[in-house]
Amino acid sequence: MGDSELLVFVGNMTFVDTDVFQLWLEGKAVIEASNVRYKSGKFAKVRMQHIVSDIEDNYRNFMAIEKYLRNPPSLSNQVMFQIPQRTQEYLIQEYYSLNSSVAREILGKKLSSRHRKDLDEVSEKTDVTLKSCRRQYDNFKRVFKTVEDMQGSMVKNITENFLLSKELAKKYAAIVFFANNRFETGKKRLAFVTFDDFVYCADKMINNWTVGSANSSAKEDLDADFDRDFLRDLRELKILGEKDCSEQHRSFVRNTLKGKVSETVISQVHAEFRNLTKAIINIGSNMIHSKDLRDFFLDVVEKIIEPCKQDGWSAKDMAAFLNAYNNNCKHLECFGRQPKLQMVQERYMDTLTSCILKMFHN
Amino acid sequence: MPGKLKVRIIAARDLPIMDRASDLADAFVEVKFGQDIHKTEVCRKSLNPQWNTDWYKFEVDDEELQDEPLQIRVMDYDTYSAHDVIGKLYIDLNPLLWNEGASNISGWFPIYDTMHGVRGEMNVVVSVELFPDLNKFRQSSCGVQFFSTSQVPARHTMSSVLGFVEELVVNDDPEYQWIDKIRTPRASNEARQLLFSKISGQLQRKIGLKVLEIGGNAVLGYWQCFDLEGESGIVVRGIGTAALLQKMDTPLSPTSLSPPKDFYKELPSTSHDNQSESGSYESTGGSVKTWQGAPPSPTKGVPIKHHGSETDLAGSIGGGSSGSGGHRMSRSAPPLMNIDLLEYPFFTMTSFPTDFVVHLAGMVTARSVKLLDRIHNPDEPETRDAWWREIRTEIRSHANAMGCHAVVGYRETTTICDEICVLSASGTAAIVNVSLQQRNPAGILTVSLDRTEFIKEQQDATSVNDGMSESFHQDNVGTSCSLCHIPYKDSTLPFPVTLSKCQVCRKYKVPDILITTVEPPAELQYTGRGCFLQARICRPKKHAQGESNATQIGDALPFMEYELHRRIINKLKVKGMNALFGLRVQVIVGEELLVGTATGTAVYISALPPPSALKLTGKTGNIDEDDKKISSLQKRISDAIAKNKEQYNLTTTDHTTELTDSPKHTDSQLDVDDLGDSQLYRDAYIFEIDDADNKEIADALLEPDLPAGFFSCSTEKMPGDLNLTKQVQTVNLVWRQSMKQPSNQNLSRIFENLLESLCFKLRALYPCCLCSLQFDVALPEDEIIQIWVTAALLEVADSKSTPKKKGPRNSADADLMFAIEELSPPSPQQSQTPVKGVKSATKLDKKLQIKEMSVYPEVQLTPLPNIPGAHIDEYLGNINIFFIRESTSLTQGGGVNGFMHHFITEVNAMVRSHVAALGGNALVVYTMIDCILMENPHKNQCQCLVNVSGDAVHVQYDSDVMYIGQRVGESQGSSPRNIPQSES
Repeated sequence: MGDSELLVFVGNMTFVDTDVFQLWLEGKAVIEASNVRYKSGKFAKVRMQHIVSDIEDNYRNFMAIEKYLRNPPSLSNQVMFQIPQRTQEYLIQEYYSLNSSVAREILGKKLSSRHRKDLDEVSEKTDVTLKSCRRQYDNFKRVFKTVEDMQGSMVKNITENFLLSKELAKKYAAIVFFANNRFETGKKRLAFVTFDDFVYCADKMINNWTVGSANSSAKEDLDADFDRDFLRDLRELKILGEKDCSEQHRSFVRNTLKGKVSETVISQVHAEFRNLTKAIINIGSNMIHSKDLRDFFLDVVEKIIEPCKQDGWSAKDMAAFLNAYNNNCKHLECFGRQPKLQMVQERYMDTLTSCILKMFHN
Repeated sequence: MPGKLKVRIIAARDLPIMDRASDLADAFVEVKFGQDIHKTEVCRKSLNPQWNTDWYKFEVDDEELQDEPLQIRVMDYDTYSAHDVIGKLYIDLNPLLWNEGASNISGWFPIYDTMHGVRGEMNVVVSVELFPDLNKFRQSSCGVQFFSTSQVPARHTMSSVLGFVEELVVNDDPEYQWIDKIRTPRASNEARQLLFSKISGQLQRKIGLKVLEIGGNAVLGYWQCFDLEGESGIVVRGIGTAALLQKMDTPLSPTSLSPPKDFYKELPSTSHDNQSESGSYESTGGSVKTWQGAPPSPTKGVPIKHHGSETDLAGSIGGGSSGSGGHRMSRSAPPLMNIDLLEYPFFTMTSFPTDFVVHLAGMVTARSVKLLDRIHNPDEPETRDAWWREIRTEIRSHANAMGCHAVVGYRETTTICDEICVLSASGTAAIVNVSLQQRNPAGILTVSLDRTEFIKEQQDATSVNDGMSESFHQDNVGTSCSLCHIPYKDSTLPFPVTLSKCQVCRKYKVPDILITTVEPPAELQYTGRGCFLQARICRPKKHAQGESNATQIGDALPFMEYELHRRIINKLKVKGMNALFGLRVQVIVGEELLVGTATGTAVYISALPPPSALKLTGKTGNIDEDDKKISSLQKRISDAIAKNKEQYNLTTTDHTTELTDSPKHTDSQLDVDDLGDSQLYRDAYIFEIDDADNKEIADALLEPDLPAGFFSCSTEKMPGDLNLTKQVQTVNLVWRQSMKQPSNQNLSRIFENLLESLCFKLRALYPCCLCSLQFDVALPEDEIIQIWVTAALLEVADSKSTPKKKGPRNSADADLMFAIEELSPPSPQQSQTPVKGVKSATKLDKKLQIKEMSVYPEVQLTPLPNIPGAHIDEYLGNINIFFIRESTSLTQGGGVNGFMHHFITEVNAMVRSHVAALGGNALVVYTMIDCILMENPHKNQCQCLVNVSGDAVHVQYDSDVMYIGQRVGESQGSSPRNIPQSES
């Protein structure tokens, strides 16, 4: 009967074919999606026209529902579609799902319309359709706009305002955090760091280094901004670099490591100790300058991770070293009389250690 | 004077952006009733304004309350220019006017604009204080309940049934007034919507008056139609069955979903003590040919005789209330009705209390072709009244010819094409027992008296009385077969009928095939399972004008009816069944095409003889080749019959053999020779082939099966052993296309294709049954054919009756239209797995979602009169809303597909909000009629009209599954609900 001029199905309940929804999220046009379905072999005896019509019906529903998905709490309040509760949850989680590769590209960039125009490059690079990239980008921006100035836990804010699972909300929190602080992530040196690594680091930093973290003394409760007081205090860690202190620290570390790592590593620790200390102190004390803060990951990789990798350290070696390094600080004479300094050191080093170890892979 | 209407405007939400500069709106609300208007404050700079007003009060007549809708208009304030309209809301106040209905209307309603669709929602509270007015000259009829439900509503009992009520109101169509040339499309649409709402209120008020006059308090099977005649105006017609209802106080047990029967059980000292009475319900004779025996009215093409005497029948618009359908009897309750005094002994109901229908004889139809441009004074209803009177008289005489004094399952329809209007009426000739009140304990004494009177009435009423009085003997009390026994004497029928002895009681005569327009009665015994059956034909017509056009159509109609009849009977035989229920015959007139469909539910009534074998014969002078073709076709058909017998469980113990053993001719009525003849005659049903073209014949006889796991019927109830547990979806499918080469085959292909497409769309929900499956055909333009498919999709729980689903698909699969993808069985841990991020979310597989479909919707819409797996607590009011939607930017909105999809979604949403605001959670007998879609793709324009009706009810689901949303107020706490916190 050829092409139908009009064929529309509307039910009182709106059910969602998950396969079709995925095709829609992928940004496949009706005809592409129909071909995918037709060739899938699932519907061997079904005529193409029925598949097309079914996809059209689904797509029309999705397009109308998209308006509510942009503000997920409205999905359960709207009266236009009767959607089963679990399907509503599914639609939201899936609409806000992201490709790590796409998110990795956008991470740290300012979420401006200029970047939205560059999405075709992202699409090309990641092999994700432009439509899907745009949806993800718009989601990032929407979440960013909503929670950037919101008081309280960012992850909690995201789960409440977008009804996302905690795991997914953490990813969005990382994106908001990176976009807000404009971390450099695009340099070649950082290419090996995955999106998941960054999500992990962002989570640690949010929990320990921001105004909203538990150990912050600031009155505000913002997860997106660093605790300036803390960053200022970090400068006092320079004491670790002073000769006496550093020598003592080195010998403590060496003693602790004995028997835990190979002799080669111990001798390398001995040789590189001053450089590593210097790197650790510099990264910390420079974070007060926003330009240096942006290069945080670059510096960590260039000054700490790469040299150690070149020396052939394993992740275990690295962990043992950082552990020994951190634990011995409090025994240092130069630290002994300053409990506050010790707290700052711990707050800094715990998170830094986590970040270094997370990224310590090829 | 006697009513106070109170309205509060609470708030609105999600308003559209009306001010580009601020991206906000400055909204206020106008509340209008009659000529009075109240306005709220302007709520500046908000898309979610809160007004929380005090009560706005209107002091009004109850007449006005019935006629006028409450109009609420949301506006955007503009200091310098005219305020912009955001949207409107019409609220019908009738549900607040009966005591048992809703006490107030309160809730969120979509704000609707005919050009933009739904634009946000608003929260409104409406209540009415009614002071009783007993003035006998009053024009209002508050308190009469209207039910679209065409059976006795759940939790009610019918004390008496008072007969047919009808009314008809004519008005100008605003779309055709001169002013339409200068006003905006929006203004024109709104004028129309308002007018439709008003005249439908008016119509109900007038019918209500008639009902009160004859001592009733309710209208059952209310059916209202808008005939858009174009230049000559709008005609709104309403028909129904007046009745006196009583609400039952005792709560029903959840299992008792069939109130009429329960009622009889519950009443003390009923059934057995008046055996004589129950004995009087019985047999039915059916006749195939009745149908054919109803040729179109001879008045075709020639308009209008004026029956001056009866002009007040339908009442002029401002006019008096003169009961038309019924005679006036001022007896105090319960009013009695003598069916033979009724002008039109018609009942629009399709399901009846036990004992009401005594015999079903067969379907009767009348059609008449009229010219609209010949109406002398189009503004007055006389002409149309006269037209309908002719039709009804004809129906009555057809019924009489079948030895019947009543018509049940009565329905009137029209099809309009330019100046041609075809009026149709159909129903099932029957013998009924209207004296329901005899079942009261006090009525025992009167029983015998009434019964003799009753018989006498029938004798008077019909020319063939011997057979009838005979059939009223009590000796087949309690048998399930009496409904099918013929009420007429075979020799007196104007057409031949094949008769045989009843297969159950072996005493009375039954026809070989029974065709009716009613629901399959519960009293009858069925063999196997029923199925949907449809015949479709089309017939080209020359383009013509005026009288010649009318003559042409009038001449074609009998042939179309005959052909439809022949085809559906043939298909019935191939199915191996012997009865059709709920048959609807539609004939649609187009410019150059006539389309006819006959749609019904086929079933095997155990009392009727098994259908004879179908034998194909060629015409004389066959070539050998033709013989070969015929024999191969014969084999295909025989195979199909055998397969159908198995599929629908039609194999039973052979009654015919028993029949010969038991020659109990206690009944003088039975003529043995006669029987013998008919047996012989019945042995083979001969199907003559003019042209041995396989395809055409196969089309006419064979219908592709639905995919495995799908069942269907056109009636509300599925006869047979299928266990339907709950409704899972409501179907609305609109299709429109140009048909380049109209032929019967192409037409059939279209319908088959649509069903195929529909089943594919519903694949996730099988096994399931499409109930109340209806196809509404329209021919809006040259070569364009439009079909609107509606149905309720019910879950099939019993796997016993779906053997095909379980076992591996066999060769029968080849005949199915398509195989459905295999669904993996649900794994328990998957259904427990919470949605976790991207990866695991995809695990939320299909099966999980299907499980979820067992969740009930917040507001269920169903074409059925009740909801399987639930029982109705309360009827809250009749919903009858007219919507118009227009677009001048068709392509931007996804073309005509996008437009219609959006519109139907909106209409459903608005209807649901009206039901919810009445305190209901379901709309039963949900019907979308008069769907008119006009498009002009070149101008990027499209307009659609639709009328939605049904009964708002509150139902209690038998199992305590949660409602889907449970939103509104509940669990909107600080933590997001239902989001699994899977992480530690």
